[in-house]
Amino acid sequence: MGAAGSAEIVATQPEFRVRAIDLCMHDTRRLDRKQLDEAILEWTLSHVPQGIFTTDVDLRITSWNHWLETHSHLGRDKAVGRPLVEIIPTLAERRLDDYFQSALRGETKVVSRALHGYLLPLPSPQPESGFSVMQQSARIAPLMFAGTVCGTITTIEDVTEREWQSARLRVERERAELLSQTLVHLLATHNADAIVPYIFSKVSSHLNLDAYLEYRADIRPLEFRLRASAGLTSEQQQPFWIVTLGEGLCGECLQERQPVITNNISDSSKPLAESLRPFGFRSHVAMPLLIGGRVLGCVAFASRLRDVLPPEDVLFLQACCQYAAVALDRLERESELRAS
Amino acid sequence: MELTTTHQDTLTELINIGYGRAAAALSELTGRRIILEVPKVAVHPINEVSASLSRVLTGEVASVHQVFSGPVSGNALLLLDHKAAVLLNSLLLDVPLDDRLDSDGREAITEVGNIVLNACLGVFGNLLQVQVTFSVPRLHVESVTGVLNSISVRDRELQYALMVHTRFHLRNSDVSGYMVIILGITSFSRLLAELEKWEQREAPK
Repeated sequence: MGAAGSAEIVATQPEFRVRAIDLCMHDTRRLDRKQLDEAILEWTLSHVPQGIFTTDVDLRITSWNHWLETHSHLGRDKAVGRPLVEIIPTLAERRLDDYFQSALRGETKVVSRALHGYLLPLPSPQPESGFSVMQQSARIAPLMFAGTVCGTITTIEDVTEREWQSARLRVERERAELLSQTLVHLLATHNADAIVPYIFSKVSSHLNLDAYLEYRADIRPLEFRLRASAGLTSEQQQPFWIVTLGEGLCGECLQERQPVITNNISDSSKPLAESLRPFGFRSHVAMPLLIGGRVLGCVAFASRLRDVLPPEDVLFLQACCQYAAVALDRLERESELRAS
Repeated sequence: MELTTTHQDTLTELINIGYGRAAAALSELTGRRIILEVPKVAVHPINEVSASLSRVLTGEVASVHQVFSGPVSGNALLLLDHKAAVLLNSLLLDVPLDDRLDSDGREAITEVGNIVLNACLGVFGNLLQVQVTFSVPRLHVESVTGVLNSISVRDRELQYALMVHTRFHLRNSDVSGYMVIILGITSFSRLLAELEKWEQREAPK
């Protein structure tokens, strides 16, 4: 397809049409070195997926690329000419002014995410990552012309997603290790009463959980009795001593044989959530202890710090409870065998 | 080419000045007192460096590499074996010790290496009264031989390496590594000549 074809493609986009025509006019001639440098610079300023800005020796902005315009919502015309300290008001406070001064002395400086978080305070492109400010990795270098430092050049890379994913992987790895340790312990234990307390001791700090209640089947049908707990005084435990199938959050969990998750307890108008509020709980999950179709009991976990228990945390607790159920079932069978 | 005892003393003193600056910058950055020590300085021909370093840095090493150019040019490296790199990262960032160096950790080590190398070479630049400019630092994790080969292959005229045993002391722990400055014969001779001038200037009258 020739130049006409290219023109047709961009016909609906006037701003590109001009550029396409320019390219058609220039594609038959060679660019000299200076023009090539200009073309490369233009591309760098317009299309590089990194922030690039330069300053003069007085640390006033002399160029501000398109990436920075997009992420800072500050146009090139507004940025150029301003002192760097106006663009980064915390420069001196975060002792980053030394880095620019070092660059003016010929040094190239690294601004790592790990030690600084960011160079330019830009909004996070992924607020769901938990970072309110874009996480950045930057390099500040001297801008040289004819062997002399004539300013600084800074490149900024957005590493928010990298750090977010890295944090998620770290958590996943910690959980896999925790599950592995739990499994080893539960395979070896001979004390049925220590199983859930052990799990709680392992996961509580990891998930910011403050309390648990463990129920096992009672001799009376449809009832489950509190076997162990933590995070509640004996007085506070009283309303929770017995759970009846289908009643309350644990009762619902036992009937449905599914986790019952209650988030945002402090804002909830549901009666069952309201009943947990006096204990300071902000989120709660009830987990069945199941072996095949048989219900051995249930465990409720609650947090006074977290409003929401996300699905990955619930899945993790579910895996722990499955291990606990297998261990309980094994100990029951061993006990039956000994009795017979 | 060998360093005389006086050269060694002078170099150690100058590197200590640079390390003092680096330690101050690192302490300010991390909010913790960090001390950098120079237990030993030596010069080796480039072909002996690999064997010499392999005796003290085994397995994969984290190397922060910066090329410097100007009237004195060469390569500067901070080398930490894997154990030292993860320990330093843990101490600097106050994170649990992990046997892996993740992206954050790699960057932190790069910045620390950058601070140490810049401070040290900055002192040399001041001594020689020349402007030295630096490339963007790069971090590699590979064997000592791999690191040195990549440098030697790029520039066959390189001949001497200044090896500086480096010890970071922070939070009651020591982390050892090596700073290696590789210089061509011309740059190295110039450095020694300037060292002698500096010794004469500083000598008690």
